[in-house]
Amino acid sequence: MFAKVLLAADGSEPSLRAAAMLPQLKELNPDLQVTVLTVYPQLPNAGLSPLLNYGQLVEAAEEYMAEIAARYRELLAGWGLTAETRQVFGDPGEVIAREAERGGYDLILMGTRGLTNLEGLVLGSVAHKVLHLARVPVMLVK
Amino acid sequence: MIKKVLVPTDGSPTALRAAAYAAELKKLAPEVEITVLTVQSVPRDLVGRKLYWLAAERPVSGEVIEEAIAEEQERILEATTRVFREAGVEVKVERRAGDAAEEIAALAREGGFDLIVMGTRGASELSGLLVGSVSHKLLHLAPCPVILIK
Repeated sequence: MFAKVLLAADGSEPSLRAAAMLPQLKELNPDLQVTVLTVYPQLPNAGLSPLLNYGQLVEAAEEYMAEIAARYRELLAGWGLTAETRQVFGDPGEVIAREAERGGYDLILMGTRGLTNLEGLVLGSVAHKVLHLARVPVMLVK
Repeated sequence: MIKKVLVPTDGSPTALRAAAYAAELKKLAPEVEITVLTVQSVPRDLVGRKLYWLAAERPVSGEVIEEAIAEEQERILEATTRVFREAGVEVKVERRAGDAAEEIAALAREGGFDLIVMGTRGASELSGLLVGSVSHKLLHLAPCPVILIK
């Protein structure tokens, strides 16, 4: 329990508050291992303006994810925590659930809603999908 | 620091799995205090509610229904505390009446709880629902993080 935690990180306020739970989880289990997972939606290859270069788009998205990962690494370092970071293209809900299963994580830690959801929404679409797909416990932070 | 953990229960399979999870948490961190909560609500489904109000107007059958609900609450508490007892974990017990999500959130706030552990959906909800209405409403109202267990 709390040995291997997957933090869904999109840079949103709820996600940062979720990250802030990590020091408390570490108190419960000093052996806590954290992976910070950032997911960017798969970029469409077809139908783009010829002015846009697909490679450049991918690069920009990779840079964006790397910036987010760096931000969380720094945040965690401030709490004396080190974490592995992973950046993946795909459907965020599906990727989070799949990575949690594959990686043998015992907890998914995430905000109730992310960057793209409306303020009024209780449960964002990504959290909702994760709850549907993942078998592991999910810790939700507002 | 996570010290006070609230485990709302309606006796459903996911609620009992949430109880087992909370028992594990207590074994990991013995300083954690666990409180089990049941909320007695007016039957949620239409027939149950109609029967409840019909019966409540007749003093004798009203009492019978109150008794049946109280018995059900004790049965739920017994099933849930058994999970902890078998794990060798002591818990406190709270009983409330009213809207489940509102009562859970209110106790979490009043009692200064740090974490709520509960099932994704309860006994009275459709199995097709991903997140039951109680969990969903609670996520909106909860003053602390919530761990949802399937």
